[in-house]
Amino acid sequence: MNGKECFQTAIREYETIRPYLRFMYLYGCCTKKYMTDKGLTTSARKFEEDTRRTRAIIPNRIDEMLVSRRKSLRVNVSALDIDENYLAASYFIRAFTDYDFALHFAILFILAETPGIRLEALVKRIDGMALHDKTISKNTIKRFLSEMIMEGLVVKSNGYSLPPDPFAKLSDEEILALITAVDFYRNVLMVSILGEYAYSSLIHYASSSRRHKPPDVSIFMFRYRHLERIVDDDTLLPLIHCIRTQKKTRYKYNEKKREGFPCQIRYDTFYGRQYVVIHDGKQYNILPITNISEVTVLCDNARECPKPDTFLRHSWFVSQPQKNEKPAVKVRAWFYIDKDIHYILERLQREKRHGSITNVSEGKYLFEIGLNDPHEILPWLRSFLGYVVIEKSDEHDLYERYSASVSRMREIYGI
Amino acid sequence: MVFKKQKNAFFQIATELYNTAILQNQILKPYEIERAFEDAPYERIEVDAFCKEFMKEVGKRIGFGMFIKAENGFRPANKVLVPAVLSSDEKEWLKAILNDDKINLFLDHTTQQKLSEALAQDVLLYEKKDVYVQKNTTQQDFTDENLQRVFKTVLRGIAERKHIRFEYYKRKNDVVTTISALPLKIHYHGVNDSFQCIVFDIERNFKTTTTLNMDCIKSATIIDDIVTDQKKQLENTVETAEIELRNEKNLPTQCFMLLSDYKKTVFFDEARNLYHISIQYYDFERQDLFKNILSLGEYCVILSPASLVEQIKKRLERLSFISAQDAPENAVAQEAPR
Repeated sequence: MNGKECFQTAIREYETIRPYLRFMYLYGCCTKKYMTDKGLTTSARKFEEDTRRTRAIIPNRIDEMLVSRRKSLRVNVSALDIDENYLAASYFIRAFTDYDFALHFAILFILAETPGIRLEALVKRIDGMALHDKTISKNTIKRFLSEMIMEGLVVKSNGYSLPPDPFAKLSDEEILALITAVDFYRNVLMVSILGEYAYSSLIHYASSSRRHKPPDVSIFMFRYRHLERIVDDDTLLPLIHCIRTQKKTRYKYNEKKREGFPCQIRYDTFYGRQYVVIHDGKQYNILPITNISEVTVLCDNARECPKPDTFLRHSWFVSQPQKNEKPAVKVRAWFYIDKDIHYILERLQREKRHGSITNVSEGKYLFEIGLNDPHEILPWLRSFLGYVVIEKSDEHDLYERYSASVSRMREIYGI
Repeated sequence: MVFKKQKNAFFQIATELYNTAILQNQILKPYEIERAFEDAPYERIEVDAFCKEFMKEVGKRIGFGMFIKAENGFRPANKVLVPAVLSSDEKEWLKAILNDDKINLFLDHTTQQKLSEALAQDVLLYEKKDVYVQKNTTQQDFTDENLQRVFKTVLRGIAERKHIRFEYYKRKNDVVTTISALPLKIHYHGVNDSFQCIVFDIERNFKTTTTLNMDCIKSATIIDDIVTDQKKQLENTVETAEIELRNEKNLPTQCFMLLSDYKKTVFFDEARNLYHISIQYYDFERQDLFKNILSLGEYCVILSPASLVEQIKKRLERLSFISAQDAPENAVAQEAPR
């Protein structure tokens, strides 16, 4: 398996598989030509390797078919069919060595039996376990222990020990309730791969420490959970660490190296887009996390950046104010909602964000909002087709765009 | 970094294999060990290569020291279980869930308190101010005790596959209705930040689902004597929609992100430069899907089902009607020249 020519599913950097996996999941289909044209793969060989890797990660879910004499791949999975985020499996293929494997288990066994053990005694015990046909040096063991300490798997205080059990005071029933909560949150909360890890650790804990297996019943269904977010977690987590510690970061954005102070993560639950607001010393930049890679935390002095909330107060989501400091563009739309379709009004009230609604007369409502970029709101207004009329304005072209769209739809549907 | 070698599937499977052998006092046969590793997300040839290394005998041990040779197989080399140890990142994430309002639906206050004390030394993954989540204003108050009680009863009903008697009111007229139903799933809507209970109304003979907003349920009582398998019932409510999407600018990405949760089959028609998408959804999600398709405007055309096509035609007709009927001052009717 070590030959240079040999394919390996295991990878050292998550970035290797991230763009391919994301595209395959979102689009549901791809061809080599399409991926090459879009710049999502660097070579035919890389495409083949990524396909093999994805097939190993999600077995029996990639179908192959011929379309116009070209091999086309399709993902045959549904977030509704399965309760678990199958993309999480992509985080379980990190490359490791035999030493990593042997030391990981040996250290856990020894520390479980002998808490507070000193390094010399630990080295002796590992040597005595005849883990491998080659000897493991003291330095290798020390380095491995440091890695485990950094991960929080081992604590060093009067010798080496396992960290205290955080669930010691919880009853079996409380552990089961916590498992259900984690099962829910791993699909909802940010950095969901940590939720996936915590979930598997808890299941492991319940069966090993409590001899209790949770019932195998799927309880939740989700809409707008956006499973694809998980592939960005490897980038997202260091950005969150930077925000928390107010540290500077170096990162790659669209293949260019940049630096700045991340100050907020913005997540759009509707489209599943995640952005980071970074201050580069002069101005705020709002960048999609999908296009960021190679994030490193710099050791520069920490600096607090003001949150961009005021700066983005006229944003439907991430549009920035115009550079010449023009005031927000005012958009007015009229909603015609009869009494019997109260749910449309409820929806409008729920989704209006910083806009205001005035009941002008029975069944007639005026919606007003100030926006940095009025085009951001158009898809939302379009979803109220049949209930909304956009007011014409010299400040924006929403009326013209919407009218053209409606006109085209009339042609398509033969109205 | 969240991409960790200790989380590799081979580590996870070895842990489970080892702990099961201890707990069940098992002597493992070589083929049992090999079979367990087949679940790893690797190609068969790689699993075989790993197994070969794992089964390599050094002295009387295999599995890099984990197992020791016994009569007719291998037994765990140590008496202790592989301990479940959570990494710092995992604890930070657990602390973050305690910071969310919805946790009240899952954990009692005392449990939250105990966990919070146990994680006191760990840092919080992120403060609320560091992350801005764009979602709609929720109508559900997760601190409401009745909502918490109902939620926990529904959780139990689903876990134990038992029927529940619900007393609920529709927001529209506030009349309390009682139904006995089989709870199928708790449905969480990420944009509205709200929970619904998907049930089969027994009186409707399990033919269609009913969706109950959790905050509209006045009470929920488990009916102890009936147990039914929910999963099969839900499969009967799946519908399919066929749409065509033009391949223009960022539109496909926008559309696919919007539809990322749906089961879909996609075909890219190069000649017409459009995507043909077949989407599967549950009957109770029809309106949500329709709304999403509308947001894509004229770039996305519904081909089937006929009911959705009819609905879009009615909406277009209604637009003509409201535009003509009462054009406001300074507003121009949304009737572009045809």
